[in-house]
Amino acid sequence: MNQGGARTARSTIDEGELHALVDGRLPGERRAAVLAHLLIDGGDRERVEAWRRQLAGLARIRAGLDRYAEGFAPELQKALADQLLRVRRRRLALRGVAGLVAASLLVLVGFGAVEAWRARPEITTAVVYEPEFAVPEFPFGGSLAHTATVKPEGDRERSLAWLASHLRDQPLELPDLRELGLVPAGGQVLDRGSAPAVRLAWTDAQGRMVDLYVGVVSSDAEQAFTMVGESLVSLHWRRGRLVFALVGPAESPELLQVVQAVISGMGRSGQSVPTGKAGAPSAEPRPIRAAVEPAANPAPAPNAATVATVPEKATAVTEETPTPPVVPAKLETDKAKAL
Amino acid sequence: MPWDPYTDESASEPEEIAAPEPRPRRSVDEEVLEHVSGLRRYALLLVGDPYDADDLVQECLVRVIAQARSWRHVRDLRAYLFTTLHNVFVDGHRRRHKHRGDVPIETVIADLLAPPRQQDWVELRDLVAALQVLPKEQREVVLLVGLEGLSYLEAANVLGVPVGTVMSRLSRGREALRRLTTHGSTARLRVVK
Repeated sequence: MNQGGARTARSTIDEGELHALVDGRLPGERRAAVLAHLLIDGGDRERVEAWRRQLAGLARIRAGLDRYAEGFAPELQKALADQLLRVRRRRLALRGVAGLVAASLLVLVGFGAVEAWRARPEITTAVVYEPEFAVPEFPFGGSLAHTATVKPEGDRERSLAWLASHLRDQPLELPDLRELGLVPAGGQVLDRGSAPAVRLAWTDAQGRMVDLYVGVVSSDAEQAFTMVGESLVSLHWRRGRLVFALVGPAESPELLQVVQAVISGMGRSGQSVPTGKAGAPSAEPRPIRAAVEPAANPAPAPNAATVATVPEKATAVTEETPTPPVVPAKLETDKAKAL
Repeated sequence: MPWDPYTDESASEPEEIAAPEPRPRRSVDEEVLEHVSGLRRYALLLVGDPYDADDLVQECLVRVIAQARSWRHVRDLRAYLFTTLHNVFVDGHRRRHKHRGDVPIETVIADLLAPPRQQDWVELRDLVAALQVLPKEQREVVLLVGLEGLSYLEAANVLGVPVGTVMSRLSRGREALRRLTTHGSTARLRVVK
């Protein structure tokens, strides 16, 4: 038989059928015909046997390389995790730029350019931010300006619970991150008009900050995103109408553990996992005791999409402040506008 | 009726890459890393250098991760990964290492293999050496089909060529291997890349 796939007058066997026979991909009815052909065509029989030896050799090579090929995984995981962080940072930076534009447009539409710009100097300062306030934008519908600050000293757990209570109708169990060496460091209530959000902060023994931003969105279509500095990484996930962003040092290998602990500590089933992270622990997260009871503070569902923010005076929150959340008068006004 | 590679059981699926149903959410580890061994094995025999092979796999996976949102809708992740690896290979994004060319690939692979009998070792060494002599288009097809067990249609999708081209390259590649490995002729071969 000629090589190259052409049929010949002396045989109806196609070249491809010989390969299909060797590869085990020839249907039964043709298999018999090809085998019969090989009985009378010594040249083709020799070629087929040679191809079979090649396949057997490749199979032995494959088996022999198993240990080599599998040994790559640990190195690769590390490389993938590193690369993922870089990719995410680039992506987040782009989103951050887009978010600033979107937030600015919202401000312009909502209040008018001049008035809004006068009223919201925090938008400008948010772009150039201090390292401890690494996430200037948490937009999904509006920009942020802090209205209350929890001081690190005092009853930090209760202060964090108080902050979480600002999420109103979205109960939030706070995670206990002490097993990971993180202690509560404070936080802020973030003014997003009628769409509440909080920043909860923990710090480790080296003073490195891990921030958990939790916001309420009004629809699945809204996206949460943050812009972080080069040395930071932000991991996102959402649970129902709550959107989370965990921000911490990019070089910290424990950050994914923190995510797991936060998710586990919040103790809710059916939550989404952070998106696109390599090297995420595949095992069940360790049970983390919730530090406080869920805040039960039902309130009307906010509308995050239409409200831009208005700066409010900072309200210090200390150990004596686990009181009902203080809603600034201006915020109430804006909420009324939005509704 | 003669056999037709377009209609055999392995070629019955009309579309291997795109799929309407999104994949269930799993971690990157579970989704991708289970295919890394195959990628690395294939890349090693494709490029003939362990360091270049690892670079190739690394670049492939970086691309996949960067497109993480889209690949979750890929039905056949293995084919998608091999397609990406092929594209990286064709694009020539591999970094060149100093090690390249220092040690013949057949020696490298022979060292990596579990020690077989002497006769097996010689045959495998000759086969690896002959693979490196093949034009890369033929080498790709021979490895995708013979080493990784892809169907002809899967190989065609990975390489972005018609099935007929795959069959043609497979035929020429296997015949070249047959000639090269007959009577120890690979001992006289020089690998030219």
